[in-house]
Amino acid sequence: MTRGKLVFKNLTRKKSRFLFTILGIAVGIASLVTLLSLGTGLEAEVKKQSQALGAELVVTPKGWCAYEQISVLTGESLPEAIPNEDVEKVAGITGITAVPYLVQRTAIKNQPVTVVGILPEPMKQFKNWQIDRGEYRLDRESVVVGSSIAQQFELKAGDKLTIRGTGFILRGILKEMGNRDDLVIYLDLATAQKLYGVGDKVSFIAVKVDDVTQMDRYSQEIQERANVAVVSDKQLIRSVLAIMGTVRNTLQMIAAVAVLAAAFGIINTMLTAIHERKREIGILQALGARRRTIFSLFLYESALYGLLGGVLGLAAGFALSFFAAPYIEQSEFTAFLGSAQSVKMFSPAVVGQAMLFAVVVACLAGIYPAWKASRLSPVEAISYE
Amino acid sequence: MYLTRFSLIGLIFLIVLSLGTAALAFTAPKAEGLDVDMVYSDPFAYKGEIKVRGAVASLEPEKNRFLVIDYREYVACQGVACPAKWATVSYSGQLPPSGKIVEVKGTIEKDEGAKGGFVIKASEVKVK
Repeated sequence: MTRGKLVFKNLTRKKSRFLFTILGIAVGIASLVTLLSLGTGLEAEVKKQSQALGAELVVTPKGWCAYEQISVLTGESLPEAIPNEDVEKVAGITGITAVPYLVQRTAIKNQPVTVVGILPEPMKQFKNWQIDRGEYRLDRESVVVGSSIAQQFELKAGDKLTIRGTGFILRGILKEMGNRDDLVIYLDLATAQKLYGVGDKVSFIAVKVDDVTQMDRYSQEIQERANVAVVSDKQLIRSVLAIMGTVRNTLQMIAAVAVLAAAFGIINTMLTAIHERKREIGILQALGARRRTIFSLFLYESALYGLLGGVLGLAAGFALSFFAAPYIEQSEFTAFLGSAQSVKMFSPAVVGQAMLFAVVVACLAGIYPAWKASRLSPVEAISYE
Repeated sequence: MYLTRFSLIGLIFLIVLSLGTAALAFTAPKAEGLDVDMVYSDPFAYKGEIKVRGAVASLEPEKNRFLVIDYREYVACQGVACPAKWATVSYSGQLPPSGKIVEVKGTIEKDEGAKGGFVIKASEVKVK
């Protein structure tokens, strides 16, 4: 009988014990996989939204908290605190392209929709937008919308929209961009400022730089010229991920504890198995099996528990992520992004991490029982009844 | 045989308990409805009865009113101190405690004296 066959035969000798030990590790791995899937998906979503902004620097009012920084990426309505005067000062710096955003909200059929006040031509160039239907025209009476909004509310060029009690004509629908730009109604900046009663202020300014190696210099110059704060796109991502990371690390700790509990289950199972198989160990020793062989036999058994439990846990974890996705939108974990679509259902990195974790924990749990089995004396083992 | 059945029931119970605890850990405090920041920008765009979620920032018992801030902002800032926008809720029933998450069902009405020029006339307030 080969070593592999012997290990598998021993494992499945007591079927209920085998099943329960596997389930123990599977539950731990399932919770770990679920949390890793959520975390990976959210990180990808944050990076995607940051890329969609198309800016290397974001100029914000001083004193913005983390929630407001996140809202730059998520399209939530933002306080308006940068005056046009500062926008012009920033735009006047050589080597940068600056476009202001005034981010507000309205509703269509009682569904909230983001409204962004922009400078029409600079923004079109900044974002490389193309028109899909109608024309690109923004003025006191005209708006354009993203493709998803048009699809969701069955809008077409020429339709009338009411924003804060004022009627507008929908002039055009933008080509799909695959990001949050598709979910927005765009207004001319001056019209939006008047409509929302914010004076001459904007929410933030997105900045593209000509030379990315001079980012610090540009950042310093912007802050010297205007009374504003500047964050780089990378800092923005780091800031968002730091908040999410605090929550995620806590949840992963809980999952790790579940796996640890399963590891103790493996130790218990293996010790019981050694006790029951003392005689068999003695026979193996009498047949010439070395301590190393016996040690490896029990360690393989333990690793196999980890492998099988890991596979089962992965399947359960991905299933749990799939079913949990529609319900996590309002959780603390995702409240920042407000998007259930951000849950990543399958990721090779998550599979790798979870399987490695399952096998390593199972191997570690198997070391002591395997060592104990290998230390049995042949006389003690054979004389066991 | 009895022992196996007992173990199986026990195990299922433990799995359900652990998954339930894990689920509660990352979903609480949960509330449904429109967010205050969404409503605040264009309150009169919402017609008929709506449901708004938020955290109670302060109470005005003499007017039967309380102020709610954005739920997500409350979660992110872990408090009621930082928001610049809030909604006034007018409610004839018992006012919810300050700092609690609530779901408010009601209609938007004009009120020049309130922040943003509107109040939510609540027919139901659920403390979460």
